[in-house]
Amino acid sequence: MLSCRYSGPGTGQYNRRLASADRVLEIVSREGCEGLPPLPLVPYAMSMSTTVIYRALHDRVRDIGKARVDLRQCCDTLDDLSERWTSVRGVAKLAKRLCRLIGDGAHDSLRDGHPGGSTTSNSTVSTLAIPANNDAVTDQVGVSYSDEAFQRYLTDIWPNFDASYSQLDWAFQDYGLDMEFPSPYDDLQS
Amino acid sequence: MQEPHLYTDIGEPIPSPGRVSEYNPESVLAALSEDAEPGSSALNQTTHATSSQPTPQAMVLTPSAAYEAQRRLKWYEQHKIRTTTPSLSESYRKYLEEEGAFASLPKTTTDALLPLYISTLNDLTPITDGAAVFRDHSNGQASIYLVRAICLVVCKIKHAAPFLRLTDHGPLHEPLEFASKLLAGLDAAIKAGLEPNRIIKIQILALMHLHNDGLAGVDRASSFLSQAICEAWSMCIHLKIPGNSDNDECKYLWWSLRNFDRLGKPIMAAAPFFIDDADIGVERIIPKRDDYRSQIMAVSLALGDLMTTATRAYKAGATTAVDSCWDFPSLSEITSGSNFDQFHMSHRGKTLADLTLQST
Repeated sequence: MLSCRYSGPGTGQYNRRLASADRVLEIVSREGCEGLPPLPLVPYAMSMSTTVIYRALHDRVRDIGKARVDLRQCCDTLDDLSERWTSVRGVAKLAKRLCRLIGDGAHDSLRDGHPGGSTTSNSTVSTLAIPANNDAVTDQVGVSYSDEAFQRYLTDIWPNFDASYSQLDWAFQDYGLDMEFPSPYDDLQS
Repeated sequence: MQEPHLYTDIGEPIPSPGRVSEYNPESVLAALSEDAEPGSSALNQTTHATSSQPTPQAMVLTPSAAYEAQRRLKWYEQHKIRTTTPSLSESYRKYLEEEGAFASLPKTTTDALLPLYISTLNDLTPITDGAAVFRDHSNGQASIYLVRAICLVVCKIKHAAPFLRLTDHGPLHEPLEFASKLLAGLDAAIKAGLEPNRIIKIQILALMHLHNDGLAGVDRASSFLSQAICEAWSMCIHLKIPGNSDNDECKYLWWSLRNFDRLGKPIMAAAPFFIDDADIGVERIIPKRDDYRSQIMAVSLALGDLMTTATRAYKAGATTAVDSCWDFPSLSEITSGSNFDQFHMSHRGKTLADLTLQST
């Protein structure tokens, strides 16, 4: 997974990273947390896989139906792991929040999204829906929008966060560092 | 064993010439002093031992280098176990007691958790010989700190849950609470220098770094690992120490530290590796047919090599925003030479590390 940092959809590195994430999810789901050794590598691999799977949804490499199922599976395993590893609690909460947003159909417009796209390109135009509880953009549900709009959308999930997508994976990582979560998460249901 | 040849100006021998290293003037001077004694038995033995094998011209051992291995062994034997006990003020001792630094875990806890370590991690992360620790513990001879460090790591296993007590009749703790209390006691004990055996101290620090929970837990874990590696450098276990009776234990310990440094680096969200392979003098562990530990270690070492390649794009000095890893070895290539299909299923899960790097 780590061997792909800059490559976008369609490249060998990108496909390798996504296939790795799928395999990690498969192993952790199959073996369960109890079937794996008590090493910090396990929660880390699972957290990183979650970011990769979500990224595939964002890049429209993965359709929303499959992504929804996988992210739900990620949430379940992260939940399980977070009982023993505080380092994944942040990722688990964030992933759950994303799952809820996807699960309630708010992202269904992604079904008709543009194929391809670049992970790090600033010119990416997406067709994500804007959450209804974001007053500033409530009227823009389903419209195409730039990364600027996407940032506003993610700001709903993570206030005060510079949420250009390229930084989301860092968000996942950084978020996992502390046991006591920063205040922006206090309102998130676990 | 030869006594050191350096003398003080009042004619007393210097008991220890400092760490054996070409960087250390004291050590260099000690070597020169020994070289000045022609016909010493140590030099003759070493010369004899090396003359039987053809050696490339550039690597011919100078008398100084020949002595270095001997002085390294002497250093190791002199410094492995500290003979003096730390002097603790009353208030410091009280603090240590309150932190649980001196506490021994109840037998019901250790008798349940040590076998869990042996079955899950002893071969996978061969920091120490878990079976030997278990035997020594049954005779009251194991380090109480090492035993606690082992329990700290395995307390997260579900089967450990019914045994997580700190005292015989004390309450049952949740795993993270149990771990947190153990860690506080161990941290205090290590800082106070209570563990006299420096190899065991390295093992304890390496085990402690596997617990990365809590506030700033990742940074703390990184710090413990760096301490473990510094102690390992100090004891020269990354170098060949001919004649060292602990050779096997030290080799596995060293390469375990190198694995943690490589495979654990992303977990600790830090880019620099502590260990540069060019500084390692001890041989890599080769997979042997009837040696399960060696087979797992060989796979881990190959993954550690791969980590260096796979994370180049994350280096602060990288000048291009381009991934370079087009070709990756397959899992079968990485595990060739080992009976990977026969590994314990939980140990094969270690390939999560592999999958973190690649997929095929």
